[in-house]
Amino acid sequence: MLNIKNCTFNYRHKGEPTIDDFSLNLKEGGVYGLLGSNGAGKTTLLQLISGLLTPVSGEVTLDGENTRLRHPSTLEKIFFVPEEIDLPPLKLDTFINLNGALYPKFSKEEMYHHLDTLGLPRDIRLDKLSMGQKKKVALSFAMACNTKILLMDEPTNGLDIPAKSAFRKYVIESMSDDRIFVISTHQVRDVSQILDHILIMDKRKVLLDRTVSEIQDKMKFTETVNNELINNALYAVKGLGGASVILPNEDGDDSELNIELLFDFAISDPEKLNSLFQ
Amino acid sequence: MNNIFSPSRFGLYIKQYAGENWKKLLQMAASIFGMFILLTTIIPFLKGSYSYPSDIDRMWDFETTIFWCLLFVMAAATAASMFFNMDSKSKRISLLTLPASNLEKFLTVFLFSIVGFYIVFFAAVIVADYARVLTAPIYAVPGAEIAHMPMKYFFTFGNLDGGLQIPKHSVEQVAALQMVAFSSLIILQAFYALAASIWPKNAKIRGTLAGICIIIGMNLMFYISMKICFPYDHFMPKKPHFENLDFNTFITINYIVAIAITIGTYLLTYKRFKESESIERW
Repeated sequence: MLNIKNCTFNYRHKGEPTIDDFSLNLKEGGVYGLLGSNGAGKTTLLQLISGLLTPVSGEVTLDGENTRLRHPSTLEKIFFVPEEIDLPPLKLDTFINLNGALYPKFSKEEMYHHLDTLGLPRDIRLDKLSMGQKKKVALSFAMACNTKILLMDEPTNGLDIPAKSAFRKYVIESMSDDRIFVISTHQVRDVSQILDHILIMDKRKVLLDRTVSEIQDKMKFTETVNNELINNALYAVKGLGGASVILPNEDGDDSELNIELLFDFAISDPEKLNSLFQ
Repeated sequence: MNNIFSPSRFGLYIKQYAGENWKKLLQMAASIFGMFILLTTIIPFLKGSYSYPSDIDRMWDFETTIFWCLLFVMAAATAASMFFNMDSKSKRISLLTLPASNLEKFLTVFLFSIVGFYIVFFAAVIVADYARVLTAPIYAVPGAEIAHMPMKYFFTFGNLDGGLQIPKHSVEQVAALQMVAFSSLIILQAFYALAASIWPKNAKIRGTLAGICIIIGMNLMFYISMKICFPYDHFMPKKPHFENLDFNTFITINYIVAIAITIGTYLLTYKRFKESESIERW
């Protein structure tokens, strides 16, 4: 289990903390969508989990071990894919042989399989690639490492449409009961189908931490022009031809999750949102 | 699992480091070789060192002086570039998240940038000396002595035994010079390594500025405290405390102090490296 306990983090020694007394537990077997406004601390949180930043107070533990110590036993269980990728000036094969050897569960066959799926040839030099292609290589490598925790910061940024679809396929195929995937993104439509857990955060607290099925059990997402429904909605955003609304799910029907709407709801009235789950 | 040091993982990490950075490392080595060869082949021609007959090779002294100077400059420069693979955020993330221990990562850069430097440096000295001996006959006048500089000549600052030359320095002078040179060299290298761990991008400039500030500060502190303790300009007691020490003990103590300072500085560098984050704090 990944445990974030009362973490406070400052980029500057003085000033307002980016993350303030933040706690969260992530359980195995979940694909977490990490959402938050700009500056809410999503990337900071991912880097705290990876041991790349030192909290002022609190700690992040993976199976009881502090990730900040960056012990090899922890590092081989965590892979962090940053938003901006910089790959060394090597041939792909050399890169795979040099770096894959350090991850005990790395599979070269899987790496090539992912590259094929993402449409990248094998005979390439990494420094000659475009940003999107570099992202494909980094994602393929991350997936082939088969680490317990896979943290991805804006993974679909820069990917073309077929690659986004291949990425979703990979996440679905490779998710297992002993792994945790965390996807931080603003491109919620790219990943909405694969998330089974929604985490909405601001710098001080988790505004929402629920599984998709829990959310769908309590809320119904729909478009309507009916003013009565709009007025009685838990949350509504009016558009040109009506409104997108969140209604209480009283009849138990499943509706397609509208993450953007849910996000707006969580930001505007988190107490009302959480009261639904009490 | 051993989280501090595992030989097999260390081997894999060295391979990864060398494989990813071989171009940069090769560039650094090539620049040392290139510069030395250029110096030893061009300078004697420009200086006219072989334009009249002589009994001894006139370039030995030049090589000794220039290589000693370059040893200091290049040791500092390579130590200051020790963490070149951490000079951008994405490089730092790649390095810090690789599953090897902090000690293994640190030892690897230490081996390449500190120990490896001496191997490259002395190899370059030997190659450059050979290049001079090979090229000098092209322009040297008949009777001009052209010979390889023995490494002993370099290490003893121009002293040779065996009747080749009258010694320039006494045995004590050579020992003292060697002590001062060796001590300053290892301390300088360790200081720039520490600077590199603090400022991976600009360690050469910032390290030099910090060094100047430290030297000025220490001198000022020494001067002020002496003024306070000895207000009538009697700065030093008439008899130095080390007067009763024999020469060898004095030299040994100095070596021990220098090595202790160096180890302490590298420990600080390691601590700083261990605490590295994806962002630069300074």
